[in-house]
Amino acid sequence: EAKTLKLGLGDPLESDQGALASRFKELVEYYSNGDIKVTLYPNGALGGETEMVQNTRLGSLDVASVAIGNITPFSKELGVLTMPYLMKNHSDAVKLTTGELGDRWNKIAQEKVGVNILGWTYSNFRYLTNSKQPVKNLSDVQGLKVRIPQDPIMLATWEAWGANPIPMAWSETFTALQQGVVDGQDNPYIVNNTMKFYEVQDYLTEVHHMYSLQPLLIGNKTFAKMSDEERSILTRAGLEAQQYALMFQVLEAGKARDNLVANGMEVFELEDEEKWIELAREKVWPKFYDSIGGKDNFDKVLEQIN
Amino acid sequence: MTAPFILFGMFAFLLFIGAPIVVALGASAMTVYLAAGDDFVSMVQIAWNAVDSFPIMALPAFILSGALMQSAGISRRLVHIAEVLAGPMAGGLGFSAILASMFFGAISGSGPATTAAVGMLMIPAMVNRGYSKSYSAALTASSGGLGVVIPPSIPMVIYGVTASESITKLFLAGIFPGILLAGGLMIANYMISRRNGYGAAEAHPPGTLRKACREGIWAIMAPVVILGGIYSGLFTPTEAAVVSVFYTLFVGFFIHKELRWDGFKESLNATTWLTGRVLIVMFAATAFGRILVENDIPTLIASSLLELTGSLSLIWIIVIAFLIFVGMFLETLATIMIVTPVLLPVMVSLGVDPIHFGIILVCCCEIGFSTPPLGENMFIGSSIAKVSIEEISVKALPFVAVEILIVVLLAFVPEISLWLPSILGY
Amino acid sequence: MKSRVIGLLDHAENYLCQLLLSAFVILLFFQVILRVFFNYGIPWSEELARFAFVWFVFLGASYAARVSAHNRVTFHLRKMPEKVRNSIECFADMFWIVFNTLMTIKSIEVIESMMEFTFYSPALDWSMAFLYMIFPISFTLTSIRIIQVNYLKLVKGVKFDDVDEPDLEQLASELKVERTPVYDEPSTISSASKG
Ligand code: NA
Ligand code: NA
Repeated sequence: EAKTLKLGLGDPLESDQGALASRFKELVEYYSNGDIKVTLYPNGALGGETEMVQNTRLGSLDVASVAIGNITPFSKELGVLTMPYLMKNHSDAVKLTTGELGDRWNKIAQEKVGVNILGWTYSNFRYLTNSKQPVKNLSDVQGLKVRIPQDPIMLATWEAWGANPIPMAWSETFTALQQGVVDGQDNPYIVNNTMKFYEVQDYLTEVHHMYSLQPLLIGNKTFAKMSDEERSILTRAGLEAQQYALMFQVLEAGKARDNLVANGMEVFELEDEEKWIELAREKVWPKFYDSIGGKDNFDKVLEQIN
Repeated sequence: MTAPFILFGMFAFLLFIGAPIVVALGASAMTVYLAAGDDFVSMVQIAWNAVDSFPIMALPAFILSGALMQSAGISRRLVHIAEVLAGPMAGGLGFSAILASMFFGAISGSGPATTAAVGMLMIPAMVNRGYSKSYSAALTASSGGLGVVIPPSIPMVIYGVTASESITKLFLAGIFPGILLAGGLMIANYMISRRNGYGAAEAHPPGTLRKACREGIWAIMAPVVILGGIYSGLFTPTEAAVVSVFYTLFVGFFIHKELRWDGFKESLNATTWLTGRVLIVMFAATAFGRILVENDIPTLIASSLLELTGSLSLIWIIVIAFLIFVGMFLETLATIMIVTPVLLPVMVSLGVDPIHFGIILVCCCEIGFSTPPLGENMFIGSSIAKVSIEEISVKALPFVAVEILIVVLLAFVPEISLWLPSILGY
Repeated sequence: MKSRVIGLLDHAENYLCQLLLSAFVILLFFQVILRVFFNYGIPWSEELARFAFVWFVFLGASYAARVSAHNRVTFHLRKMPEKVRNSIECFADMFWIVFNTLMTIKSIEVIESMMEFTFYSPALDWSMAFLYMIFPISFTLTSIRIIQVNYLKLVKGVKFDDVDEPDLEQLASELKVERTPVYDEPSTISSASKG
């Protein structure tokens, strides 16, 4: 009899998270000859992302795909992955999530969160959009009301640049942008496009402060109950789905960008990004060394990806 | 496929033996887990996550501000303006009662609260002018429902949260349907009044209106502050509700000087048990809905509906009939929380806009306020006018009929609801 | 004095709820003022308000049980004799107590597991295990309230007012309505005027 795994994800199936989940489902069902089935529950049908992390850990949900920010509350050490200006490009993101470093995050997740990381969705840089003015320099962002998720590192980062970060629930963001309760927000191209932010935002700036990563999790309890063969099927499917997610990202981000421009958004690059980097390193990094496992640890991670 | 049978069987059984709705929902969900030998640990997560939400905080804030407006003399002044404005017209005080419900609806988010405030002032006035008690009670109970269609609206907050839709947009979409429903009630009142010889009120001496408006200026400003604040982008609906609490405290203590410490404490008290009992249902309904989703019930309902008929109009009729039937027995907010996760995906798959569906749902609940056996507004009308629920139910029938017709119209012409939000760029 | 202490305990949830309600409403109001007039946001204020709100809701649910306010479908029960109705509802309430007990046990399990794998709130950096303590507290308190209410109803014969029925006296005083001549039956008015 086929075993069925429930996979919950916060985003819709059309998103990059959904692409990874769909691919994972196909691969698992293929490699197991249909002995393991995966049912997808997109759009937070099985609860919000934090809730899904909890339930995966407690064993009442099998697999979950969530944004990194929703797993860091369970393990501050994983906060390393959310430090500003840690990654410069896709290649850094791959280095950070595979090999020795990949194993390291997986070990932390197992010990501190009670889950295994089967794969990662590469979700690209969070670019700043706003409705006020083109942002090309640090001076353009002074006092700008930027919506951010509830995340201390992001808060400290936008504060360091002189913006006015406002933590706000995702469900309220669109309306808040529309009404001008906040001026802007930051998210990757695909998200900016699927959320139709071009309807309420005029300018986008490529700020490379944070590359979003979204782990695919399976609970320790659920994983332990499986046979060695089943575990290797899931691990292999996770890794291959992760590779697929990178391809998906590269192709779809370009299309999403084109659509934003077609809908009237103007895209800018930063003229003084080195200043942004400097402020992040001097004002933000030192604040969080302690909580993410010490400066030495962080320096080693930097060495390994550079 | 046994899970849905256990779920609905247990739910019906518990409701039948008079268990609270929260228990009927929560215990039946828990039974499904226990029967399958599954851990129900996710129910604890749901308990936290269903309530830990910024938008739902609008609920206690709107309840509190509504309760305070009563003690602060805001309600009375608004109703008085409506009375002076419409009393001398044909249809007379009945017309005033409907207008008062519209005015009051623009500050209150609750149907029963609107009925209580308007009924307390208008029922005696109507009875004195020769209207029958049961008719006066039926009219205020029916028009009290406008409180939840005209924004702000607590049922819309609950729908917005359950469906993850913008509450602001729902509020905008409710304005025209609210006016249309009020118009329908006014026509029905006019016809019935003419047949029964319910005349106009005495004309007020000149200058009464100006005086009423001058005295009620702070009351008139209340909806401007609440709705204006939301639509201008100054604050979110939750914040607007909070601001209206402080506005009311300010007016009540310093301008009207009518708010007393006792009234304040009583408002906090009522807000406590009202919020507690509504939002604990939110938790249980979410757990219940989760099991429905895991068992693909919405898809099942959609496909069987489509097998039955391909016509969206016919499906709307079925849905409206179902909602009005449910609204006869079940409490309004619980209805919204239970029905939304099941019916919304079905309607969206048929191409219906979620905001449009929300308005129809809220309007059906509005009708449920004045249908027996459970009609929250009728209970209030009944205790104010001291007439039986049965008598009121009979007199409310024409109003219910008119409202059903209008809801069907609203379902067939989505633009009535969606036009205003769309021209304002939502 | 002793009765005041008992009265205080009897309204424990209520007083705590009034405090929590005032706290989060004031907190949110300050947040609005700061943002609108000073273009500033306190990073933790929304989170603190939400936490106060969750505690408010679950303690409020227990208080609602104390005043017998939880909605039931009762139209068919109303037609029965008082005693029969009370007994059936008491039977239904046993399911409620079982439900509450299981939720209490399960939430303690979750809290223990959260002690092992700590989960910190994003803004305040508080361990969620402590915040989840509201569940064993609220579900247990609710069970105690259910037993208390059934004891009062079945043994002491206390009648609970329908909380949804408006308190007309109070409503009239709040709205400054003159009541007597309008609300009494016409016959009473005429007999009163005759007498
Ligand atoms: Na309203
Ligand atoms: Na009803």
